[in-house]
Formats: sequence, structure tokens, C-alpha cells
Amino acid sequence: MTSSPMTSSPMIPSQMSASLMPPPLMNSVTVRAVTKAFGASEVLRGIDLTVPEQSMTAILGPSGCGKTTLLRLIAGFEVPDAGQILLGGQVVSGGGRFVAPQRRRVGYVPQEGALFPHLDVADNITFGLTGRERRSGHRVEELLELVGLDPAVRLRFPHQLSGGQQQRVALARALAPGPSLILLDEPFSSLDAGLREGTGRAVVQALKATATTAVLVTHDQSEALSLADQVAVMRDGAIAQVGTPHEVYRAPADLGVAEFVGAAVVVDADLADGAASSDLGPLYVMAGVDAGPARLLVRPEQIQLTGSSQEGVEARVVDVSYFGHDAAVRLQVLASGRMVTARVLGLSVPLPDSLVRLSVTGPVAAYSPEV
Amino acid sequence: MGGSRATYPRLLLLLSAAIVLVAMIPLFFVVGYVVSTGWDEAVTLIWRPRVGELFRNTGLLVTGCVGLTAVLGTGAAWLVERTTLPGRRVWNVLLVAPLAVPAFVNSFGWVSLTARVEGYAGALLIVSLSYYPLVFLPVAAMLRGLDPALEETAAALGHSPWRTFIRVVLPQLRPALLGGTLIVALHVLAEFGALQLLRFPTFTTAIYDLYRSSFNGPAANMLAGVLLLSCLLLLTLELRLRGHHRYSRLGGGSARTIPRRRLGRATAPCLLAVGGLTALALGVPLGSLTYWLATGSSTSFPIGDLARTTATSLGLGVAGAILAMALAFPIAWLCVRRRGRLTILMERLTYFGNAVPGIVVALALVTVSIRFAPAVYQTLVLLVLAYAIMFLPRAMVSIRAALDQAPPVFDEVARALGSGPLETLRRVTLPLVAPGLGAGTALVFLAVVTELTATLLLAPIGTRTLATQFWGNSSSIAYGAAAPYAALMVILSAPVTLLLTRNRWRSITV
Repeated sequence: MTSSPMTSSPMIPSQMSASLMPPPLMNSVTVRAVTKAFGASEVLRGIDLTVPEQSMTAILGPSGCGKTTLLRLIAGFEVPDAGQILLGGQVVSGGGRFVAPQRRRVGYVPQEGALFPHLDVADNITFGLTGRERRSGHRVEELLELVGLDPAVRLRFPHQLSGGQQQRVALARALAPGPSLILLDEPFSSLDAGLREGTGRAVVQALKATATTAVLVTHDQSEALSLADQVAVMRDGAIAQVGTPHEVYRAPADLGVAEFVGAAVVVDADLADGAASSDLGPLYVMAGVDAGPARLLVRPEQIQLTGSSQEGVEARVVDVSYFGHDAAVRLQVLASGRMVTARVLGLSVPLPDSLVRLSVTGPVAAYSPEV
Repeated sequence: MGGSRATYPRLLLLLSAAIVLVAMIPLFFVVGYVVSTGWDEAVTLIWRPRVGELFRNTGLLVTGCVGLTAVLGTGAAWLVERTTLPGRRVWNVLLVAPLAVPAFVNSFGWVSLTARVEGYAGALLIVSLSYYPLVFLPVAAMLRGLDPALEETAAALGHSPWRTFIRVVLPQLRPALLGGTLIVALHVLAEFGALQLLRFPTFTTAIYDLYRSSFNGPAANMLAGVLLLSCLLLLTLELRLRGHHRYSRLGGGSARTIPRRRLGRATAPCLLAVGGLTALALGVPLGSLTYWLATGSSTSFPIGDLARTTATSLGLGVAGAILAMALAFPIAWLCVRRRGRLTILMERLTYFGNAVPGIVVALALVTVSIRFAPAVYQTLVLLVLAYAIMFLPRAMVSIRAALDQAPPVFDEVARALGSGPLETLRRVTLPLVAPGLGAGTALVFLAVVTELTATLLLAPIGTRTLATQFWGNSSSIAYGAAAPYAALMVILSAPVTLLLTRNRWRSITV
């Protein structure tokens, strides 16, 4: 793909503002035109990214897109082939400079925590402190509290902890020396779904409490959207879009990003005056695309169902996946035969084979048809 | 710094290549000898009735031992891992314990009681009793790791327990079973002491006799070539199986406990079976040793002599173990941390050292040292080098297992926390690998202390080890005098053998 991933996309304010931002502050991260290849395979092809200080940026992408390599370059475990990496305005990689990882003051939380198995929790947490600080040990309880753990675990060994506890200790260990930046490499992917959310929230709270800048690498859309202040979507070694979770979800740079960050119903229609009529009824389109043929992105939760009213398009319920809190309803539009999925609250779920009427609420994003 | 993962540290690579070349001296020697002898001469040396007889003997013994150890090892492993056999923990240790008794001590135990064990049947029984733990260990580990759902599925599909075992369990055990029995075959091919005592001539004993009588004659070298070729063939087979082996242990360490088969009325016969096996493999040699220690007419306890010999063996064991570990470390480190075509090649080459019997190593070092470095001939340096070459593969396996305990992610976390490379080594890597390195050193030490063949050929005149003193006495039928040395070897081996009953070290073949 080309260097500009947003050729036919709606307006993305934050990506434009990224390059116009004031000079980087103390704890920010700036990545400029970074490339990296392993042998013949090009893993990163010109990455530009700014992580504002005291915020969390999620790098979201499918496995093999190069997101972990980007993280390792920021940490200093790998050297970029070209481009620059700045931490707090200081060049740490590129332009003939390379600062060793141990001098970057960057906290690193790898997958599955990687707690030192030969050290107990307290010794793990104080590993990065100086000898005197280590012996006094008073930071341990403070840090355990910070990540939401009982101080009693300080004497346990890693194998005696649950996965979620291990991740929290790994974060406490990374936070202990007071780093300017924390790098999290898929830290929750090894946890059960139930633990994932709670651990993620505890991590975000600890980072906010210490005003630490963080970069989170993940392939989990809901994790990125729910935890981060800014989401950078990566694809094939390039950044496809940077924006707030809301922007990335509601106004994706292109349909590829749209389908990666969430379920999508794509509708072809003719645009005129910010509106379109389609086989799903009238749609209101976000600003930014000219009149004429377009492809429109409808999120399943925008499709509303009514049983009796005369408004909306008639459809038959094909089947229902009931999740309790909500349900995914697969529908066939009677007029066109098109299959769509609607996401409805679990309170009122239609029966299979029943007839309903559907309508689309809220504005939808529009894309040029050639994409 | 280069940063790319594919680059090798140049110095380490050169060092490792040099070590690999040293480890391959026996191979170079045999190939060089065969080539310089020429085809016609080689054929006349090999194509003799005597060689045919040796070939038949060796072949019969290897196939017999492979079959017997497969049955004994698998049966015992199944009883211990999959049934309600009472006292499983004790049996687990007792069934591995024969590894602490060198095969030549085992056959001493038998032959000093009755001469009826001489010949094929006796050799088959005694050698199998010594080596069945090499099958027991991998098969037991495999049985422990098998997914019980497979057997449950077979049962649900209407298979009887016996049919399930044949159709589901056994095919999955195949890699462990074949791997284990091939290691047995390699050991039988290289076995000298036990077969010499049992008067059953094979290639190895014949080479030794030829060497002793004609001193480094061409016939001995040529037989060594045939022996090495057989070993290499077996090892290639083993290597191919090992490739599959890794894939077949997907999802090892499942958390679910495996349901054990209730033995019920079969309990008593099964107890009798493992009890009988233990009595034969462990009870007879230990009982015989005790008997000779207590009552043997030639038993006298030359305390000073015993102490000196023990000290020599300990010293050689420590020196051999340290040298082997030191030589193996750079190669193993490269293999783990800089995996590439070159390092894999080096690993394979050192692995082939497993196939080189002690007698071939010894012959090679004698010839090569006389020719190129006469100063080291008849010195302890040459003997320790022989140990290091013989046990380099074993050291490699231990170091690799140890390094696996310290994956690079720990280094990275430590670096991110502000530790430099040396501090990381001191505070993270060394504490993590130290137990593994210690266990590896102990395993090589055990192998050196109980090594007989190369020691007999290479020990400088006047150097007495436990193994050579035992050998000198037992082959002159001074059983009582031989017993204390054998007992000391068993006592020294026992704690290290116990290591093998622990899960982590099961994979290391002895």
C-alpha cells in the first residue's frame, strides 16, 4: 500500500493534528519514518506515530502486521533500518545514535509477564531499583496497592500466582523505577476472558495514577477500544489510521479498517446532500464524501428493529445468537434478499422466522466505491 | 551493534567450529584410515569368517536386547503411570535405579554367582536388565503426557481396554519407544565390559582383544570402522524419529489427571512382575556385591589403595565433566540463542558423537596423538579429552535444557529495568541456568566415573581408577577384591541417577 493510507477516507482529525502537534514533551514518543526488515521480509515500511505524554496508545493489528516489532524498536531491543525514534524529544534510535535499552528508562511488560522465576514477588518488583532502595523495600507495598494486589503476595513466587496476578506484578515491576514510558506487549492475551477486563482496568488505573505514558500492543479490538486514549491501527507493516477509539470505530479510514475494528454491514448507495436511500431505508451520511455512488458502513448496533410500526424496511429473522446482555440477529431484507446482522439489547429479542421492520439510526461513514 | 537476529558473534562461532572439529577426531580417524587403506585391503580385512561370526553375534544381541528392553520398559512404565499399582513412587525410583549400576558391574554380579550366564542367553538377559530404564524413562514420560481424552474417545467408540492400548496408546508411544530402543541399541553396540565378562564376543570386545594382542593393528581399526558405521546408521534413524517426536507431544503437560486402570485381582501378579524385575536388575548385582564384600576370601579392604583410587576417579570425573561442559557451552548457547543453518549443522555434528563408542574414541586418540602430538600420549590430558569428546552430546543436551530455563525475554525485561549485559548475566541468567548446569555436570561426572573401555585403553600406566581396578581384579576372578571398587562406583552414581527420576531431567539419555 502507499504511504498515505487515507486516500478515500472521511476526515480523521487526530491524524492530521498528529503532525501539527507542539514539540514533543517530556514523556512523549515520536516515531518518524521507521523501517525494519528481517532478511528479505519487510516488517515495518515507514511508520510515523506520535504518542502524547500521559496517555495510552494502543497499537492494534492482526498478528504478523509488525506491531510487536515496532514495540521492540521503541524499547531498544532492535535497531531500526531507517528513521528515528524519540523519547521525550531525545533521539534514542536513528541518525547514528542508539541508546541501549537499559538507559532508556522504558518499562516493558511482555506477554505472560515473564516474572523472574527465581525471585519472589517483592524481589521481582524491586529488580530495577538501586541496591539501597531494594533493601529498604518500602516501595513494594505501595506498588502492589497501585496495581490492586494484596500486599500479602509479596513473599510468593511467580508460579504461585494466577495469570492475572502475574501480569499485575509484571506491571508493578515495570513501574517501580519510575519509567517515562511503559510498553505492554499483548499483556492480557494469555488471560481468561473474565480476568482480562478487570486486569486491563487495573493496569489503566495504575498508569493514570502514576501519569505514565503507555503503548499497548494488541490484536484484540475491544481491548484497544476500551483501554486506550488513542488507537493506531496497523496493517502490513504500515499504520492505516490513528485516532481516538470513537473515531477509529465510527469513522474508519477505509472499509478494511472498518471490518477489522468491528462487525460491519456494507451498503452500496447513491449519495446526495449527505443522505442516501438504500435497501435498508434512508441513511444519513457523515461529512466528507462527494455526491454520487458510494459504499456505506453500517454498524450492527445502528440497525433498530420494531415489531409493528409501519416505518422501516420489512425483514425476516433468520436466526438469533443470544448472549444475555445483547443478541446478534441475522435478518433477510424481504425486498432485496440481502442478509444483515443487527445487534439488539437482550431485553427484546425477536423469534426466528418472525417478520420485523428495521431502520438505521445515526450517521454512517461513506467511502468511494473503488475501495 | 548489528541488532539483526541472524548474525552470529564471530569469535564464539570460530570457537564452536574448532570444538566441533575436535569432537569429530574419531570420525576423521576412521574415515582417514579406511581411505588410506584402500578398498581391496579393506575388503580382505572385513570379509573373514571371524568377522561374520562377530556380525551375527552383535546383530542377534542388539535385536534381542531391543525387543526385551521394549517389552520390559513399556510394561513397567504402563504399570507405574497408568494403573493403581501400589507403591508407584517407590517403583518409579527402583525401576530407574539399575542405571546407577554400570552394566559391567551388573554382569560381574551375575557371573560371580554362576558361570551359567555366560553366552548369548545370559548376555541378552543381563544387558537388557541394565538398559531397560532407557526405554522406561521416555515411555513413562510419554504416557504421562498423553491426552486422556484420546483413550476415552476410543472407549466411547466401543474399544476394549486392550484394543485401545494397541490402537490408540501404542501408536502414540512409538516415537518414545523407538527412540529409547535405538539408544539401547547404541549402548549394546558400544558395550565392552559386560560382554567380555560374559564371554560373548561382539565387535567391541573383538576390537579390544585385537588391540591388546596386536597393538593398533589394521584389523582393529577396520572393525572400528564397521562398528562406527553401524552406530551412525542407527543414530540417523533415531534423529529422524526425534523430528516426529517433538510434534507428537503437542499440548504436553495437560492439567487433567489421567484416570488409572484398576488392577483389582491382577494387583498381586503385577506387583510380582515389577518386584521380580527389580530383584533381577538391582537385587542380584547389589546382593552379589554385598556377598563378596562380606564373605569373599579375596576381600581385603586396602583402605589406602581404595582412597587413592577413589580420589583419582573423582578427579578425572570432575575434570572430564568440567571440560565437556566448557566445550559444549558455546555451541549450545549458539544453538539456543542464535538458531540458524550453521548452528543447527554444528549441533547435528556434535550429536553424532552419541554414536561413537568409547573404544573408537580411544583408538582414534591413541593413533592421532602418537602421530601428531606424542607429548600427550599416555597422559591424563588425553584421557580427559577422550571423556570430553565422548560425553559432549550429553553435556550439550543438559546445557540446552538449562538455557531453555532462561529465554531471552528475561534478558529484555532486565535490560528495560536498567541492567547492563553483565549485571543481567549475574542477576538473571546465571541463577536461572545454574541448577541445570549443575545437573549436567553431575551427569557427565557419573558417566566418566563408570566409564571403562576408553579408560582401559588410555589411562597412563600407573593411573588407577575405580573402573580399571575393578576390571583388573574381576577379570582375574578376584571377585572379592573387585567388589569394593564396584560398590564405590554404585555409591557415587546413586545420587545422580536419582536426578533422572525427576521429570525435568528425564529427557536426558544416559
